Amino acid sequence: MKLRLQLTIVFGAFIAAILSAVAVSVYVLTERSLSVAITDRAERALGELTSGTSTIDQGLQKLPSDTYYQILIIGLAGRVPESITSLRSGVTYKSNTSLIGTLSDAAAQTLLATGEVREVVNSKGERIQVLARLAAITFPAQDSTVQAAFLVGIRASLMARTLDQLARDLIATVLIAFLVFALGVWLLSERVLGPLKRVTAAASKVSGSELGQRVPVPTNRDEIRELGVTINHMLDRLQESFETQRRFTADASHELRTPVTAIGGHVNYLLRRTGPTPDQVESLEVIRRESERMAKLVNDLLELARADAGFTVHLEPMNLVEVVEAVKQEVAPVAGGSKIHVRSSTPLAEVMGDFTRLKQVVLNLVQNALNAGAKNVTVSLRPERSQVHLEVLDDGAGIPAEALPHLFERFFRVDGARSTRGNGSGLGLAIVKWIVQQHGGSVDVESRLGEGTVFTVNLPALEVRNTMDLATNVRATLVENVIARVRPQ
Amino acid sequence: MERRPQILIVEDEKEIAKFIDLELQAENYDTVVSYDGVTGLSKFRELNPDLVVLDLMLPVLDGLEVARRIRKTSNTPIIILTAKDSVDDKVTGLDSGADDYLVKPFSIEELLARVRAHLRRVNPAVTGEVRVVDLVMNLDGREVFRDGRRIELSAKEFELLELFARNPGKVFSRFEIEEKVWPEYTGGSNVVDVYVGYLRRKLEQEGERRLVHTVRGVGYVLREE
Repeated sequence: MKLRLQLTIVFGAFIAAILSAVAVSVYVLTERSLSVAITDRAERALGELTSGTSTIDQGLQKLPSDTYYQILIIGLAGRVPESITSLRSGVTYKSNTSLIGTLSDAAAQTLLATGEVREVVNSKGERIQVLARLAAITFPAQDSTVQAAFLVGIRASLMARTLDQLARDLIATVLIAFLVFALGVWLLSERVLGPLKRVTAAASKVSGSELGQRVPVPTNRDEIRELGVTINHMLDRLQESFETQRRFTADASHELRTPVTAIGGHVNYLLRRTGPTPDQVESLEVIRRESERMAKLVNDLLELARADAGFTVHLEPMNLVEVVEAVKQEVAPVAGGSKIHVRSSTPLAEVMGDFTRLKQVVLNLVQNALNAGAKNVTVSLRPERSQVHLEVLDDGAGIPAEALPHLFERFFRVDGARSTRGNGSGLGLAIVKWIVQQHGGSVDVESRLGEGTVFTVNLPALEVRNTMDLATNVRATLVENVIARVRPQ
Repeated sequence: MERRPQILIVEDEKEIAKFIDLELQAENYDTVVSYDGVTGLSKFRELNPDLVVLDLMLPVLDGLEVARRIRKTSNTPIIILTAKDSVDDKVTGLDSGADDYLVKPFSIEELLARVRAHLRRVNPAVTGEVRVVDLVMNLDGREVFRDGRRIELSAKEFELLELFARNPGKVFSRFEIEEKVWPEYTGGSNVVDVYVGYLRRKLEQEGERRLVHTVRGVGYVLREE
């Protein structure tokens, strides 16, 4: 999973848990304090009623308007005023609803005994918090006292509504807070991880030939900047050592050219101009061959040093058929008993190319085939719509399958470090690959041990610049052909 | 007795100068060797040789500068020898006034062939050569010069140009050209048109006038217009 998603999920879950815990405790505390407040109100109202400082009627007027009450006569003490002779035990003295009726007897007993708050549902279906207290009602005028149960009921529906509202608000708050937080984490992680992503993208672009590339360094003085700076330092050092190595190869090759030229020049002079004895010729030939081989190695090394320096080839329209013909001309006289065949159905296979370098490609491939002991090397050209395929097929020793993937590596030799095959530098195919790539093409190889090898070079075909022109010209040529054949000689 | 052509060799690597000297003497040229740019230049002014073989990396005065100074006063052919072979180096070398460019390690046969070609160019009384307008074709060395500028042609390009150059003013049809230059293939391709295009690009690279002209409905011809 992406780091960004992980961060968002982990932090989101964390914050959601904290918020939920806070919400639950807020809810519980509110509920508790609400019910305490209700009990308080009931207590206060009861206190007013039973304090004896005012009459019951005055006390009742001080009750909040939404309060239910019921005063129940329980027992008479002393003389009962005449005005209230109707009062008997178990009779309601004053009430605006029947609270006692909503309580079970046992509940009423407990309520009176303990003075606890009890929630009941009355006949209207309202939830009511009921509080009861025993007190005496004194009638000063009559000098009599009546024992009574005072019940006060406060509708709890208000509290329930408040709590419901609170619960909804809390859930909404938690959800919104969670979403805002998750979004925040998502955006912030982009801010943190974005530069990292850019650093990664830039770093992956840095390849052998593009060591000059650097990763972007953010302006903030943070860890990402440090990372960028570190990577760039590393690339600087890498490029430096790469450059040193390349320059060393180039310098060494240049320096070697002079002695190699001198050796080759002098040995040629001795061979051609001084009439050496057969023994001397034999020895001089060895020197000549080895100096030629050294010259080739020096040239190959320079070629690759140039490839590493990002050198590009100069492309112009040219005919591959001629490249192949030129190679045949050059190789055939020195091919010994081996034969070079050229197959092309057309005199023209145009590509955008560098003649000298493409000739080197074909030359290297043909030379490789001869070095592998081929008796017949067939170079064929197959121009297609968008590509020209150049095939070099030989009936040589073949290449073992495990060697194929390494074939285009520098200094790789099929049969180990010092092969008996020819005098290649081990650089030929690396150069082939580089040149073909410079032409926007590709090179493939197939081989079977004991049967032979085929290298296929695929190059982009030259687009026909003006189809009308071409068609006209081809028609003109065809007409001329017909006329020429019909015309009597 | 006929005067032997004199060749000045300016090369600081004594071993290389030595075998070039030996080879050129063996070819019966009169040679003079100097090992640095300043001496080379004063030898040139003193002797006025027929050709100069010049190394690029020379002590005291480098080869490019020597070539530039020689070119100010003389048309003597200059063949540059160098260990550098990038396109830029070649262009700089040729721009400095050199006529030809050989990269070390070179084959001595190639140097001798170039020497012959350039000496022939300044000394027209030699056969094996076709001259048309400002075009010189050396048929033995398969070399082409236009107004002194050496032009590299592929084998088929050379054959095609030779066909035109040997018959200036003659109009060739595409079929005739195909039969002569590409006898191994039957018609149907536009190879002739493509190759005339190649030739024109190479012959007119420096903005020279057109040599190979299209004759509408007939073919091509080489003539001065």
